[in-house]
Amino acid sequence: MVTLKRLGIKGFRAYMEDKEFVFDNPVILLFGDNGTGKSSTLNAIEWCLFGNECIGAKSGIRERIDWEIPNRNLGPSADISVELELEDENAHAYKIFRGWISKTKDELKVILPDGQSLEGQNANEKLAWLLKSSFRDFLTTVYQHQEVIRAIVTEEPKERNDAIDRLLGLSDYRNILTGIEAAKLSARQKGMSADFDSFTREIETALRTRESDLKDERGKAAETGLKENQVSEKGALEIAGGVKNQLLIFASDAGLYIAELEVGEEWKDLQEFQNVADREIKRFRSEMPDVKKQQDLFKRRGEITALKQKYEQTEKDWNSVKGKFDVKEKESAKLQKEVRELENKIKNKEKQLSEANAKGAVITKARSYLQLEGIDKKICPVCETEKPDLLDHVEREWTEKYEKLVGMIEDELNAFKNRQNEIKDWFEEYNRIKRSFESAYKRVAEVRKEIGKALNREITAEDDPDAILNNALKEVSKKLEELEKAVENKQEKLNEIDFSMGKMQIIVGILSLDEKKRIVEQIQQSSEYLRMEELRDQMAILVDDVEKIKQAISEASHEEAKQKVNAAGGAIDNYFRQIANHPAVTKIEFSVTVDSRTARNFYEFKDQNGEYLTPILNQGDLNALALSIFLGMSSLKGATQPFGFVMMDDPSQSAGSGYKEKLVEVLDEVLGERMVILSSMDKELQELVLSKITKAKTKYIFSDRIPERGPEVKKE
Amino acid sequence: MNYSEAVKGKIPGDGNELDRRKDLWSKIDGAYEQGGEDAIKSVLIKSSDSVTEEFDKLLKQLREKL
Repeated sequence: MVTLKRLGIKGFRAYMEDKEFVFDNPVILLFGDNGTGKSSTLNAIEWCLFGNECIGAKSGIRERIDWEIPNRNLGPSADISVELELEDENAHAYKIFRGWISKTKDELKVILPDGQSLEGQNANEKLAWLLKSSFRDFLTTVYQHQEVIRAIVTEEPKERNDAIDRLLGLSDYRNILTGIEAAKLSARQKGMSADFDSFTREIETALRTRESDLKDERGKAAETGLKENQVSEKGALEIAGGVKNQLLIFASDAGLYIAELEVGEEWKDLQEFQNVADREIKRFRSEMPDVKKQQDLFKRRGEITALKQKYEQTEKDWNSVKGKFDVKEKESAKLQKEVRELENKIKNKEKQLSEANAKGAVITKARSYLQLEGIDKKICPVCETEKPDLLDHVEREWTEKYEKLVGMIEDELNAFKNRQNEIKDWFEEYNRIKRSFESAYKRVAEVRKEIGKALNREITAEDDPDAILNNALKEVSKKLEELEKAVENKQEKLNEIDFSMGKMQIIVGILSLDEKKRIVEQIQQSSEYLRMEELRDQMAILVDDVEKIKQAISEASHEEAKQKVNAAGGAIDNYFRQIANHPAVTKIEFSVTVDSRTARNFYEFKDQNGEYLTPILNQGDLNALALSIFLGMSSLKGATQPFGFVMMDDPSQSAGSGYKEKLVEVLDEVLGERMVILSSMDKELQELVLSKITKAKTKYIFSDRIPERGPEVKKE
Repeated sequence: MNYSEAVKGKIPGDGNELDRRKDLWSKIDGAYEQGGEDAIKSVLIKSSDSVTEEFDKLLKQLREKL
């Protein structure tokens, strides 16, 4: 076990100047009021041992989240360091030095008993080896920090079990189990096994598919008339040879060029042969001379048919417009005569109207004159003779004679003009029809010319283009009929070759499927597959071995836990009853079982009646229980954890006199196993410690802390 | 008896099987002593990686054949 010998602090938290503490007695007391630097002294020990692990959120202590290591009154270049002297169970002395560099960096040095100085990674590894504990272990087994100790009884079962494991020095078992589980080997093995099974199923499916495809292809072979003995490489090659010969003869007969055709020596070569033969057959079908002629005749027939349709349509259009034009033509001579007559009539009527209008104007002016004021209406303005009723006479002349006459002439004139307009409209329509007629006639002439050009002959007015076209069509159809038979024969020959090729293709397909099936069948016998099987089993063995080791860890951990629980149970019971003095609890049963789900230790605290304790305890009792467990474990005989000291920071907070007295009695017992470093501002506890603790004490008195100098500490 | 010996004494099995398990335990224990929980995780993953990587490679090869 590691014990403390000396502590040197410089610039750390409350400290400014160098301060030294000597741990030369089993009891080290740090007495003083709040804020005088006691806690900084205890913190300096843990920081020297664990560095940044005890700072910030990862420390697991809320008040440490914004912790600052350097004293705020020091300049940025000041030295901040803590030095500890430790001694192991063989009285070997180690010096640990930690200097602060920045918020995230510090410098660690370890000086070994032989004077060798280690730095960096070597120093870290040596310190880890010496302490054999994490900071969290330190918090639950050495440094009685209220927040952490309370977790032992109030946190979730997992946290509580972990904390008690740490108190019992069983962290290694727990850490190793956690490390093994983090590797998730079981999940990997399951994944591997699932992949293997899935692949095996894929092989089975592929085999079934190949077999079914083969069955289908063999069925097709039988349908095409292939015999059993033909469905072979030899059979396929023979068919290919036959196809080659047939194609050569065909090309020769038709006078066509043929590409080089290589049958090959094995069925795999036939794919290439088939590609070339297919291409050649396709070319023969389109390039055969008869086919070429046939295509030309089809084209000719199409052209003549189109011309015939065109001629019939233009002829129809011309006939239609011609009928209308003939009717109009007959009417036009008569209407031209009427136009001339109308022009004379209009001329006469316009003359009559002009005369009537001239007389009318004289009468109108005479009326206007006579209607003026001051005019003698009986005197004629022309001859100045007296005419009785002159104005009445003039008005009668106007209304009864000229007005009527003018109206009549105008009506007649309008009737003539209307008729003239009607005839004008008729002639417009006549001209339109005439133009259509001429245009249709021109189109007919053009089509006749086109027909002549297409048939290579002249079409005269006496010719009937329709009949001529019909004859030409008949002639083409006759030629086509003759050619069709020749082409059909040749296409039939090519179809026969194609059919042979189809047979060959079916055989090649069957041979290919057979080979694929063989490959699939061989996979399960392949060295790769067998090796995969071996690897799968290897992984299963590894996982099983790991499970067995986990089981061994669990058993060893449980066995050790059980021994220690049995050993500490009495002390915990004793301490709790001494400190808490709870009327309802006369005995605490502390037991451990194995959690079957997690294979971890599961701890329980029950009262004398076997009832769980935590529901009936108040906060003070829970604190007492936690402290009892801490002290009970700390005072266990034998090295359950590597530290030979416990640190207690104000353990009597809000406790009564009885509690304090009992606590001191318990501490006296703990001192049989561990050095105790106790910090307290509580005068009553201080007096009790000084008067009742039976071991030798070193007392440090902390008085007012002056910011510029740091804590004032005196050793007594 | 330290934890390492305690666990070793509890490992079940006979003959080669036991030797193999004890050997694995030594690896786990050694890794823990050297680098804690993370080192155990690394050593076990490394042990299984050699198996799974070869397995995956062979599986890929055979799938291509299929």
